[in-house]
Amino acid sequence: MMEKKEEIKFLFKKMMKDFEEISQNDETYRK
Amino acid sequence: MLEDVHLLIEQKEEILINDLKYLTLDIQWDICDIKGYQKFNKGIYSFKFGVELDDPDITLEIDDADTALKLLSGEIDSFEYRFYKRKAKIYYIEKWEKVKVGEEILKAKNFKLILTIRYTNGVFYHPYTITRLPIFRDIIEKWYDPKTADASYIPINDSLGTFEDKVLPLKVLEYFINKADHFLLCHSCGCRAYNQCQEHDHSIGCLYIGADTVDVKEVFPKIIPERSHFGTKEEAMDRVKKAYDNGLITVIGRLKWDAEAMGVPDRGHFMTVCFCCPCCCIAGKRMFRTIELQNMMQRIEGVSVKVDEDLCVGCKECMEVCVFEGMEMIDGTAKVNQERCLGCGRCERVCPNNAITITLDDPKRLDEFIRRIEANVDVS
Repeated sequence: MMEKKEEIKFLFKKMMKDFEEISQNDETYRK
Repeated sequence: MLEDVHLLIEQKEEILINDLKYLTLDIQWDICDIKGYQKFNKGIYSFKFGVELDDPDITLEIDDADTALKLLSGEIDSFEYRFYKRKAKIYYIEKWEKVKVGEEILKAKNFKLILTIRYTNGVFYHPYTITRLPIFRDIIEKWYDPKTADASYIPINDSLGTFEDKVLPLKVLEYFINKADHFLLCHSCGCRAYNQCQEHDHSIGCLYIGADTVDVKEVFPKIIPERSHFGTKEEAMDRVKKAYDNGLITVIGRLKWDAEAMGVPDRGHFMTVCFCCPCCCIAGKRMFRTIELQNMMQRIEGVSVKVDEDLCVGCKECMEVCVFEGMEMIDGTAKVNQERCLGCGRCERVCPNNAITITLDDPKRLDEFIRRIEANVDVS
């Protein structure tokens, strides 16, 4: 379970961070 | 409380349209007790891991670690929602399984919960709002992959003329109906029933064509005979003619979610034929607010819609009838938004000044259109 939680943490952080770049380059999120 | 929920559900189309236009949302995540937030404010984005917001708009909760990993790894490819009191739940189809009902072995979709949306500050947001976020947008894009979601409206306008003495929708449908052996006719239109349509005949329900329609008889909960039945070529053609006479616009193509909604895994042998009115079409009102969903519908090759600026008086009748936001008013004159217009021809039919024309540049374009549809769905 601890391993899964660590993996979730990693992917969760990545998902939130990735959006920064996406939001700057995608018209959909700049409305 | 129950009354509140019903009111929200009745208003959900309007709420969704607004939500998708302006993404302003504070989201609290709770994934197996791992917290974090994302704030979206018309282009300004902020986030923080390990922190809880005092007053988020919605809280997204995932309790199951394996499901969380599937979602975060981009392995989920379907998205269904259900409303509950003060919350909504998002599910995906985990698998198709066999169930014993009486003496029969039937097929059923096994849904698994992805997450719960809690409306933590009392304001309701349509579950589809979160499909603006990349992680969910990816799911929608997979679900509406152009290979499994490709369809077109077939205009019924007199100005298009006839094709071997047949109007356009009858000509196209005749081709596919002649080629097929299996026809499933729905007893009523879900969109018109849902919206309690006063303008058009509820009994003109969807027609599904192709060998995979046969599998619908094994679906649980049962759709046949209460909600649909298998019919003949003649019955299928009669349905198309009746829709034409009723002023309904035909949509044909491969729509994966229609097959799945009828309980059949999409394999490319299940053609959807919908008969749409502008007042009730759920697809038009709901789906075309997102770019991915717009992309699945294509204008028929060679169809063009034009406005004669000298004849247009800016009455906006065309705008009101267009569910795709394909018509704009610029300086008091209607203009076709060529990116959004799907060439359904409804605007031409309501224009009181004959300022709009819809044309097909070459009758041979029909073959091109039929080939495109056939490339994705085989009805034989």
